[in-house]
Amino acid sequence: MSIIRCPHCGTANRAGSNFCNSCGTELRAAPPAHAQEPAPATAGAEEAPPSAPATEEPSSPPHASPAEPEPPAPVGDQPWLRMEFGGESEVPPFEEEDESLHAEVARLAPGMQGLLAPVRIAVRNTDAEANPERMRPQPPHIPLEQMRLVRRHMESPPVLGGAERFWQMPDMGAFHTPWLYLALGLAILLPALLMPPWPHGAPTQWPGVEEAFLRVQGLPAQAHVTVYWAYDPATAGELDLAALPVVEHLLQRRARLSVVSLLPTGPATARRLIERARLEWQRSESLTAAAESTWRIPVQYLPGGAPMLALVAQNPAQVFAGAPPEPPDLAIVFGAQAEDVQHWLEQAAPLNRTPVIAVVGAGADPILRPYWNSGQLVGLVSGFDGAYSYQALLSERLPRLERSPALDSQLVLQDWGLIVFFGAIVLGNLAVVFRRRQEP
Amino acid sequence: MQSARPAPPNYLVIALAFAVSVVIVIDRMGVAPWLQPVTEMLYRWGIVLAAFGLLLGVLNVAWTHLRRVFLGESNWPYSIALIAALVVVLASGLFSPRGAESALTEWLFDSIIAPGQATLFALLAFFMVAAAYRYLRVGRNGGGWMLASALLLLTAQAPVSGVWMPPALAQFAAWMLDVPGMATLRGALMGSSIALALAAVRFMFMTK
Amino acid sequence: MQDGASLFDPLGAWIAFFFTLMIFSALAGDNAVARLAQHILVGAGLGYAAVLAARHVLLPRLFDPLMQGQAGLLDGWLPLGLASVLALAGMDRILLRATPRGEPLPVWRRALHGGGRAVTALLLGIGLGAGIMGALQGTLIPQYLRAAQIGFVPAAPGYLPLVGLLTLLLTTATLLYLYVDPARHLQQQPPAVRGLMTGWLWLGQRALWLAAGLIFARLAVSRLSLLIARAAFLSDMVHNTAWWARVQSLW
Repeated sequence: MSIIRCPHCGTANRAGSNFCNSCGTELRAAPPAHAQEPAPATAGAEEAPPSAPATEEPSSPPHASPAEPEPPAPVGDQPWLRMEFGGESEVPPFEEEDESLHAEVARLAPGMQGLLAPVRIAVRNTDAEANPERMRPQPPHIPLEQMRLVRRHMESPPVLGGAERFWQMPDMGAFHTPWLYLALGLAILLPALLMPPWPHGAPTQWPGVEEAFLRVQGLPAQAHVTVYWAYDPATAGELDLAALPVVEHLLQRRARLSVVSLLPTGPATARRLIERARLEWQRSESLTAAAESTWRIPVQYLPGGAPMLALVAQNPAQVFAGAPPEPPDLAIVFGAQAEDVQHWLEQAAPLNRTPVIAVVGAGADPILRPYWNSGQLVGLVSGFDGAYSYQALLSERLPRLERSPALDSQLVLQDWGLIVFFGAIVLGNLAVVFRRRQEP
Repeated sequence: MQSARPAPPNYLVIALAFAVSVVIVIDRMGVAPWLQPVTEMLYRWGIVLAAFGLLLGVLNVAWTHLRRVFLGESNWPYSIALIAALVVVLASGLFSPRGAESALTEWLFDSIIAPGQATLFALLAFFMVAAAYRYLRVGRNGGGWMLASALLLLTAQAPVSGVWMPPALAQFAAWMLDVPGMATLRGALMGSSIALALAAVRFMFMTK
Repeated sequence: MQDGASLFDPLGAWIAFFFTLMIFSALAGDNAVARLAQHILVGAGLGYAAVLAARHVLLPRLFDPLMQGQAGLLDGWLPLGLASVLALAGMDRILLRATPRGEPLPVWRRALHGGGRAVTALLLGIGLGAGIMGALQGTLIPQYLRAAQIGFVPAAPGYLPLVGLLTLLLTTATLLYLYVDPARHLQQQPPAVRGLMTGWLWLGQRALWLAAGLIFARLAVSRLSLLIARAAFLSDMVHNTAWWARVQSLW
């Protein structure tokens, strides 16, 4: 059989492959290997005759006229992906694969690569060893109409869920999407620029905010607090809102913070927010910077992923120089995703049994509710509304503490953005109604 | 046969991964306190090795783009921009005694990295509104249920709702989040944890 | 931020302003400006990560103790050796071309790759062990206990007979829906069991749909917050310009 040699890594791939099996390089432009070099000897008996085309193109369908354009390249040796495919008669016979393809691949980490592959759920079929002939792939016995239907579905864009009705719906998304983008962009940018008067009340206070506040409020002076900083500038627009009042509160309680992050840009984000909180807290309490000048918060970056959080819990002195050996009084996770909090609860919390407060993005809130309910989290602050609620609680004790201007702009612009969301939902449902009217 | 056969497993490597994971498991069970120094050492090694791995990843990307420039492949001018940005940030941090906290690196962080990352993620809001248009539809499979709960929570969390919304609606939304939503997601969390643990055990024992 | 604040001057702010606009231009479709910004961002981000790994991890944790003679075999030389093997094997894979298929690798390269695999297996073993025990200790056991407690134990905090039962019902229904395939698992069951299970699975599916709507709504405001933060930055920059003051004076 003919093969294509990958121009990048040299791996032999089956003729007609679109991408290299080893490194993923695009092969469509690459010439077949035996146009340049002889194929391995083990496959010689099954090689196509020298006059055969270089790549294994399937024979054209019997009903196709010569004037028809060539099928598109991506289908390769999979003729059933073509619209004009006529049935099983066009399926090329399966060939024995080149034995040299099974030569040991010089991979650095096959185990890691295996991790990325989907887990096979099916039961292992021992018939394969017992009767290899039975396991030889057979040409599909599928009626032509059904095959055409499958092909049409395969060529449509993927969708969520398995709704058969979707296939009957006209594709209005392509038409509406740019207008939706424009509407959302203008709905946010214009009020941000023009700042029109807009009424807003207090956002809903979700369960968990007050408990978080009371837990910080109950900290003794000089309490040790470990902070897992699991967000970076990508999500700082939301997380800074929620983290700022909590850090201000911790500073006001004179807590001794130790910050650790698994993200490369996490420590820089942490330093910036802590500095902002320190300035605001000093201003609100009429403190001078000199009064706290000797006080430095350690911020550490740990590569290696979630398992390394166990070291923070098991032996803090290995991470923070001079940290006390006993567990901290409180742990706070500032995380953009629910997984960040999960990582701490799974890797660190079982080891040091320290109470944990989660300060997270709004999207993580529902997924963390089970942990809040089970008591693994003693407080949960999420999103701009959680930030507002925490700030309101803090302002009752620190009246001179000002609300951040960023939070004020969120209170106004969230409404404008949500109006567009409601509009998009209404339009989407109107499209369904309109389509139904058109149908008999 | 049509399917490719996998390369033969390297039993020494598998045994090493298995042994390390067993040490971690036993230590985490708390039955052998004397193992704690061993696991701490493993974690410390892991930190150092992961840092080397990160540097290798950077080298890999840089080399890929350098090759693209040298070979004149498509989009090679973008690769020059990538390499230039990488070299500037790398030099600013490596040659300063303060490393990533040097003034120039901080300036680059504030001018390029932070706004760039933030803007990339801000684009997700546009995709969310397109998803709301396309998927929160009554006619879709499960769309009505999703639409009902999404509309309830979207209404309850809009700041302007605080002006007119009866408190009972906000309380109902909080209850939805705290009882049925929590119970459902507890089932989903347990399901995913079982799957994760089983997959990890299967990899440990290299069973198919 | 220490010295960085003093340097975050108008030039940096305007670079950030235009960089933001360059990336936002991707909304109008794939274009050269957006691509350029994304490549610069990736390059700068990688450079930053490399600086952090080298200066803030490897130097204080490995090279400084070694150079000062404070590190022993297990804490210094052994991890250095392992890291060197990993680095050399990785560089071999990245920089040297693979031999054509069929030609055996030189012995030294095979040994290097084997060493690299062993070091990777070490990391993999740490991840697997921590992953299994983390899932058990951090999620599975506490959530299972709480689910049982809230459903059956009247003295449990938060226990209300109906709410507790509803919680348990929904949790089990979701779990069953994720693991039970009616076509495979219910065919051989008696009709009564099949009917009960079908109803339970129906409930689990609806519960998951409801939860998906809740997550969507919270995710929507989360992403809106990010967009609003960028819009606020852009508008602040515009507000600080002289021509905006002139525009404002017009009305």
